[in-house]
Amino acid sequence: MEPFLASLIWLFPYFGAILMAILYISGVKKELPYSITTATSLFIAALLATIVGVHVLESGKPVLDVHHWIPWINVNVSTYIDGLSAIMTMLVSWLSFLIGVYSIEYMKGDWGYPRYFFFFSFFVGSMLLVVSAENLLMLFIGWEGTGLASYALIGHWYTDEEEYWVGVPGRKALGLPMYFEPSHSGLRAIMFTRFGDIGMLIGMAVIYHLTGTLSIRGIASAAGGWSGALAAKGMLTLVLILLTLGAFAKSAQFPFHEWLVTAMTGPTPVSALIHAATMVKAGIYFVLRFAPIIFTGALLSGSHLAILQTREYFLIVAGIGAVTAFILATMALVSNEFKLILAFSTASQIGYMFLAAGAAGAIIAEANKYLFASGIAASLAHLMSHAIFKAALFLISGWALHVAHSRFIDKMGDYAKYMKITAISIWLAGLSLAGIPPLSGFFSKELTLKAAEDAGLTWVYILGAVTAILTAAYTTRLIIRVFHMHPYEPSEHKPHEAPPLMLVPYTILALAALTFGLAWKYMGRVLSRASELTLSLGSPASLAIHLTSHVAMVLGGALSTIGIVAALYLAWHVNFRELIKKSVAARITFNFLFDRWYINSIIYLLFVVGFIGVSYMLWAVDFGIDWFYHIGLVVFAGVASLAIRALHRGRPEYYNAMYLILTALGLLLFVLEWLR
Amino acid sequence: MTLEAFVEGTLYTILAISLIIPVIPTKKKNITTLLAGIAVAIAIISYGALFVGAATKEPIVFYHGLVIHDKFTAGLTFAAAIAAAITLLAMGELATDWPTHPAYYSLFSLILFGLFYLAGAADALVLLASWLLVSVASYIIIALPPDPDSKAASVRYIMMGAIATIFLAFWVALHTGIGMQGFYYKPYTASGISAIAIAAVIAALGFKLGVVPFHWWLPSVYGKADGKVVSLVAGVVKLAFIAAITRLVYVISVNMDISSKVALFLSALAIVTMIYGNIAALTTRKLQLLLSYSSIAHIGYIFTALAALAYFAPMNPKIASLAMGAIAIHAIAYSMSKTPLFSLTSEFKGLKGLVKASPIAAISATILLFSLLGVPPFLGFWGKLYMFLAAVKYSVPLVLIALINSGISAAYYALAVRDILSRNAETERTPEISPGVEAALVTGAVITIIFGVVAPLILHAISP
Repeated sequence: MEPFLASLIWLFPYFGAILMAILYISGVKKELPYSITTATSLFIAALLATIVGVHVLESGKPVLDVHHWIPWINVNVSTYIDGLSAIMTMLVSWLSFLIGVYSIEYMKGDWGYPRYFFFFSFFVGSMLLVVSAENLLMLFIGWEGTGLASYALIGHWYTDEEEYWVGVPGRKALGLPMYFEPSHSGLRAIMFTRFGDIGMLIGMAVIYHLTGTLSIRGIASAAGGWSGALAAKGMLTLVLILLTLGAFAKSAQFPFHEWLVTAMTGPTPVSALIHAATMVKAGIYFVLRFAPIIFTGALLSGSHLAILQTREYFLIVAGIGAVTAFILATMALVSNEFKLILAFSTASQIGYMFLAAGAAGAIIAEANKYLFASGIAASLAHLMSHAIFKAALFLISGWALHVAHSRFIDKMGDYAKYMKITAISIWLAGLSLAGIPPLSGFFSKELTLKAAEDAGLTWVYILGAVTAILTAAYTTRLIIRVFHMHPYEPSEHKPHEAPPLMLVPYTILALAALTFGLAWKYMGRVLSRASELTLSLGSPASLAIHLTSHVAMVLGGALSTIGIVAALYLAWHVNFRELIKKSVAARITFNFLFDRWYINSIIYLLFVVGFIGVSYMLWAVDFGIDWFYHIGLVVFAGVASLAIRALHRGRPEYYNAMYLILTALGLLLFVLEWLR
Repeated sequence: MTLEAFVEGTLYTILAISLIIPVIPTKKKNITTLLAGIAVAIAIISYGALFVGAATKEPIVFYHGLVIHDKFTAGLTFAAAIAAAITLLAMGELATDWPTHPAYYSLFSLILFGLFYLAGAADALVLLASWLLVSVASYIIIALPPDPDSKAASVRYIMMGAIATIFLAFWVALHTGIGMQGFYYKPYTASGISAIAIAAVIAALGFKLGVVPFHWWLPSVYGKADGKVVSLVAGVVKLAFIAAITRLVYVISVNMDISSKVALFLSALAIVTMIYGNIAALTTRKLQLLLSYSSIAHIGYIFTALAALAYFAPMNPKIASLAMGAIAIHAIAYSMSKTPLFSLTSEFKGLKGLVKASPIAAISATILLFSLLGVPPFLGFWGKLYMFLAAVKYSVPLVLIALINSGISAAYYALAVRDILSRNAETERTPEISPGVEAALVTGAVITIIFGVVAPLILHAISP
């Protein structure tokens, strides 16, 4: 197989984007050329990814394609497809293709149609570059490309009509607004992720300084050296956190999760693609890419300090993952916007992936490569199953919002009566999210919890298990409310089944969630093979689930939660809205969760308000300087000048008096000084 | 024939011309102008020869040492003669139409004659005598133009000048009491009477130069009287006074005990004068008034170098020489700018739209204003540069203040240049600039540029 095919995977969507830019500049107004270009380029990318990926997994040899670029910092244009990248490229390209097809119908008639598809293709190219780049510079270019595309697509409707907002208009928390316009949300996304990217750049610079290369394989082969050197100075944990800070921000982990929540102002396929299935996975991909390097590096360095600090780092990763999973799940419980619930759920589920990766790394104390590989593979497994079911859920939400003409679930209801296939799809995808067998979500989620168990991280495990139950609760609430209950606020719009171009993609995805679960044995083998072929990992992994008491407990909890929630709504007809109105305690809890633990307001108070304060201070200083030069000095000089000139009115007697008096005075002073 | 005899002979010729002019019948107007022209030509030749002689040989002694011309004083006298030619160029035959004709041309020649004694005086009585000669001529010349403002200015000038003359006479009296006998210049002792004498002579000469606080007459005379007569007083006569005060300060300070005290006194006057002149000039948009306040400021700059001269007179002849050369260059730059510019104000009162009336005059005036501001490569830049180089060895804060003042002056010079080059005239009527004034401006500008380019050579030639 030719290695350049690997580079073509990410180049094709870029070609598509360039072609669309040319079309747009040449004044092509029709929608068809743009949708055809997008679908074609993504389909070719997906086929190429499959060919290369399957080749890698079958032959057992990673593919490397190198072209020289910047010799003086030793950077090449190089694509590297190993086990991890093979899974990621296939996942990203096929999901992007399906969502692209869905978009063709969804975006029909939109005034920003060419712009949408341009950034869509640009995004897919960047994302594929991230997951297949061989050096950090290329990876960073793709990384920032996804950020740019994300900014543009979140703010796609930058005219900021109220229907495109996220949050309840007029609602405030701690005096700060909790509703966000698309343009504001786009800016937030850039600011939040850029904060992490600064850390990433610093980390990259440190690694480059120590190794003299930006090549990931080079960094991996020198891992023992830099890991030991940094550990000796006590800097390893800090540098690793800085290096992966961009990953935390990109994957919306606490406290960076806020940008993802408001990213829901973008068109729904964008939410499905970028903010659920792919871009937010760039962060966890980065962690999965570097975790084996860090792990092996610390072991190779043979330094006790390196192992200690690496474990510390992985514990932090696991902790952040668990905390994010839990906090965001509680927020999802009370949210009243379809997409927002899914957004909370996304950050929460990515928390599981960080949890698994962190827990796997924490095994370093035992130096058990097999358990480590299993943890990493668990994270990757959950990444894959989440990408599939969450894409399905988001695509369904796009149709749900469309028929309700609203983003609030209060205005939706009884959809199961009108759209049977969609109802089946959402139950499949939803139960996969809730972790119910035989859907793929069950296996992958239990695997992540197993990683925490293996590492002996009790609190992380407990948070994960509680989150699993919360997940079942909010998923059931969402599906029951939208599909099986009458709407709280009925609207005149009558629901109907989605058109085929939209229906088919999410049905395929929902069935994939089922199929992958049914064929988990086979999937497990593929993932284990991928793990074996991953850089610095090189070990098969166990992806089998045995029905232990812990698994039974979590599964039982989830199942009974589904039953209880369904019963609360359908059998006992509990009206939570009334409950909140009546009970003070319920209202306080509700407000706390609904206002997202006040985290957004706190961040704004600290950073936005704080920086505005600094800005005002600097403005005051600047104004003072400006005032001094342009007003103070001028007025002073002008007044002084007029005063001096006022002395000269042409009266000789006065002149003479002044001449004599001042001469006498000068004489006096001079003589006094003379005789001193 | 020796150089001394030649110079003396030409001096008496100039005096003779001055005395002949009043007796020529009033109808023969152009003859008076011609005679004045001859007088100034003779003066240029004679003072030029004097400068060359003094620059190549020892200082030239006249009247058994009562008048001594070294290259510094001879250079300034020569420059004054050139400036006088410029002012005569601007005036042309205009003064023959005044009811006071032919006084202007007669007094003009008389002043040319007096400059020689004033600049070269090495004796207190000669200074007093030449002071009276030049001053009285100046008072009258200011009063000659037919407009009432000039007359009023002259009256103020006379009234205050009388007091200044008393100060000078007072100094002459005290001068004899200090140390040696006679009226020759000599280093002063550290006695109290020296202090009073120095204060008195500075008050008198400072009056003529416009040093604050002896300057009260200056804005009323420079700013109000007809520009063409002011240019003679402000641009020509002043050079002789600068030569006189520089020599006097140098000679009396050659005493370790007093030099630093004299320097302190002079630098205090310099600071007050610079600030006063520059601040006052900021708000005026009349070219003539602006020039008169800037004259005050320029004397302030010169006094910084004068302070350095006094300080280094007894101990470091090299810096003292640099200070003297710098004063000469700056005085010449000042004179070459002010003489034509004051002449211009007689015909052009405001600032705006000069370029419309006469582009050549506007461009020349711009060059002259830039020279006053101290923009390289014009002569004014070198003057300031050398003066501040000398002064910085005496006191850094003093030079800093001078530089800040130079910066302040940029404000009004730049505004003036902007207005001069602006095509939007204030009035509908475009004033006409006479060819004489244009010629004067161009001459001044050309000298400013040429001397500016070769300034370092001049410094060498003119520093004693």
